[in-house]
Amino acid sequence: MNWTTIRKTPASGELAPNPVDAAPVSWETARAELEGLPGGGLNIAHEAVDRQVRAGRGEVIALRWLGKNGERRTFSYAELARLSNRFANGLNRLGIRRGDRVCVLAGRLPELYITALGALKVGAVFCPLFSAFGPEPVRVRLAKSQARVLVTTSLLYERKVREQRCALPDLEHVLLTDSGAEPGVHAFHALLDAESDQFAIPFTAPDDWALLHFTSGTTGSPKGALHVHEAVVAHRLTGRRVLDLHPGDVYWCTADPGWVTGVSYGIIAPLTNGATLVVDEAEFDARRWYAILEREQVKVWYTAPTAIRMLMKAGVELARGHDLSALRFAASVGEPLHPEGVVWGLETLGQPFHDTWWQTETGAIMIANTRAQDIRPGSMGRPLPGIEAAIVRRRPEGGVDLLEPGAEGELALRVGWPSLFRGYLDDEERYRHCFTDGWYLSGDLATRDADGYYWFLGRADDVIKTAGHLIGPFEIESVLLEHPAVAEAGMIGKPDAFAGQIIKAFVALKPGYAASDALRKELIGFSRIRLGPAVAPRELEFVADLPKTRSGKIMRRLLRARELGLPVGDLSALENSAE
Amino acid sequence: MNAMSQEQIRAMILRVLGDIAPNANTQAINPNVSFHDQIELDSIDFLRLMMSLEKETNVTIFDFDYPKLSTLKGCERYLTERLATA
Repeated sequence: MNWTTIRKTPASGELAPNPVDAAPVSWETARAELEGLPGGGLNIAHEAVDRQVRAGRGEVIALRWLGKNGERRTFSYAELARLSNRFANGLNRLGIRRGDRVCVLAGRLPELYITALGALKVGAVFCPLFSAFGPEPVRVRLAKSQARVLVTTSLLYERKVREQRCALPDLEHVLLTDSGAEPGVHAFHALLDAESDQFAIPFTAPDDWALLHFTSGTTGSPKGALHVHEAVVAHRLTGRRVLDLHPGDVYWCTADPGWVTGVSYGIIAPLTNGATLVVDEAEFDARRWYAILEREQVKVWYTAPTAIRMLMKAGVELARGHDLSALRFAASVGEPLHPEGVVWGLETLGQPFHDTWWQTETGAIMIANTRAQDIRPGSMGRPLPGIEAAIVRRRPEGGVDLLEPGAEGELALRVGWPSLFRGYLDDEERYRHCFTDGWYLSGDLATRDADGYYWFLGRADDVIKTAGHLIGPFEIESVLLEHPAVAEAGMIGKPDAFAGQIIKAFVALKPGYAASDALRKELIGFSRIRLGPAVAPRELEFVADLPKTRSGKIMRRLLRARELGLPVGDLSALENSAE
Repeated sequence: MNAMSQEQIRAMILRVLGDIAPNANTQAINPNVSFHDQIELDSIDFLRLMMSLEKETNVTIFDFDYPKLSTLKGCERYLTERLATA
C-alpha cells in the first residue's frame, strides 16, 4: 500500500531556530563552533564534558543512570569531567600512551562512560566490545585491537576473558568495575580513588585516532574501523540538526555502547550538545520503557526497529497509560524502519519515528528523515546538508556510473565529511576497496526517488542485520567448523517479525555423523557458548551439502532463496546443485 | 492442557528453554535468578521463550506481564495461575 507523507510545517517546530527555516551549515562553520583544546588541537572528550564545565554548565546533569534493580545515579557534567580526569591520570600511571587501545566489555554501566571519556583524554583509542559477545568474538577483537587495557566486570571477565589471557600478550591491565586486585587485574574504583581529579588534556590533532569500532564483512575476520577526533564535528552537528538536541534536553538513546550508535549518539552527540543523557542498564521491557519515557520526561528518543516492533506487539493500551507529552522528537536507526512503525509512533507516542541511515564506517548520520522535512514512511530520508549521495553501479574495469532516479544500485557517498572512517586497523587493502573515484561505496543497495528520498533495498554482500547488529558469516561459520561433526557450514539471515532477521545456519555433516535433533541442539549450544547469544545461530538445518560456486565459495544467496521460496536465478556458476 | 502438574509445567519450561539455549544446563538453573543473568538469554531469545510457552500451554502471556516471567520460578508461578483460571 502507499503510505501518506507526514507533512512538516515551520509551525510544528517549537524551538528557535526552527530547523525548517535554518540555513544549511557547512562543515567549516560546524568546525568553528567547536572550542578546541586550550593549547591547540581537538579532543572529543574536551568538547563533550570539559567545555561544558568551562562554559558554566558544570552543574547540569550529564548522565542519569538507571540500574536494572531500580538504582538511580546522576552525574553532572562537572562530576563526569572529574571522574574522567581521574581515569585519565590512572591510565597515565599504567603507562598508557597516545594511540594505545583501551577496550570496554560491559553492560551499560557508568564506568563505561568514564572509561570512554578518560581514554579519549589521554589520546588513547576507545574501543567498545558488545557485552553479549561470547569468548570467541571477544578474543578476536581484543587480539586484533592489541588492547593494552580492558575495563570489564568480574562476571564477564570470568566468563569471557580470563582463560584466554595467555593468547592476549598485549593485554597488560584488566580493570574490574566491581572487584579486583590480583596480578594483572586491578580494581577500577581503587584506581580512580588514588588519582587527582585534575587533568590537562595533552595535544591531540583532529586526525588522531580516537575510536575503534569493529564491524563485519562477508569474508575474513571482523574489521576495526578507525575514527579520529575530528569526527566530533559531525557527531555534534548531526545531534543538533537530525536529533534536534538542545542544551538541557533529556535524551535517551537505547542503543548499546558496544556498537557504534551507542557511542556516536549514546555518548558524544548528546554530551557535545549539552543534553542530559538517560542510560538504562536493563534489557528491553515494554512497561519499563514507557515508564522511563514518562518519568524521566524524555524529550528526544533514539531507538531501533527491533524495539519499536516489540513495543508495537505489546499494544497501544500499554502506551496509553503513560503521559508521553514531553516527547518532542523520535528517531530510529539500525536497519530500515517499516512504514507501519513510523506511523505507529505518530499514533501512539504522538511523534512519528524519523528513520536515519548511516554505518559504522560513516561515523555519523548521513541520510535521514529530519524534523525539518516531510517524512515519507519507509524511506531512509534525504542526504544531510554537506553530504553528497548517489546511486551507482560499479564498472567491471573500476570506477562507477551514477544512476538516475528510480534505478536500483549501490548507495555511495562523496568522500569529504569529518566522521568518515580513516582506516580498517591493519587492513589497508580492505579500506582501499571501499573507495573509488572519490566515492565511498556503502555495500547497501538502494534507490532514489525523483524528490531525492532514498529507499533501502538490501545488502550487496552476505552480512546479516539481526536485531540491529551487523554480523558477518565468517565468524559463525568458522566456529561451527571447529565442531568435529561439521564438514561445511553456511549461514543466512532469515526474516523475523521482530529481529528483522535471525541467523540460520545450514550444516553438512562429516561422514559417520547422522543428523538428529540432539546434534542440532548440540551445535546451536556449541555456537552460543563460543559466540554469545547475539551472534550464534538461532536456527540450524542439516543439508547433504552446501551449494558452491566453481571456485568453492558457499552460495549463501542460494540458501536464502531456497529458504524463502524465492526464484534462485542464474545457477550457471554453481559447481553442485544440491537440489 | 489445564491438567498440568507443577512438575509437568517445570519440565515443559525447561524443555522449551533447552531448545532456545541448548548450551544451558537446565538442571542447574537457579529458579530465582533471571534467565538473562544466568544463561545469557537476550531479548530475542526471551521473546521466543514467551511465544513458545504460549504455544505449549495455549495461555496468552500478556506483554506487560513478561517481566514476571524472567525467572524459572516466575514462569512456573505465572503459568500455574493462568492455567488454573483458564
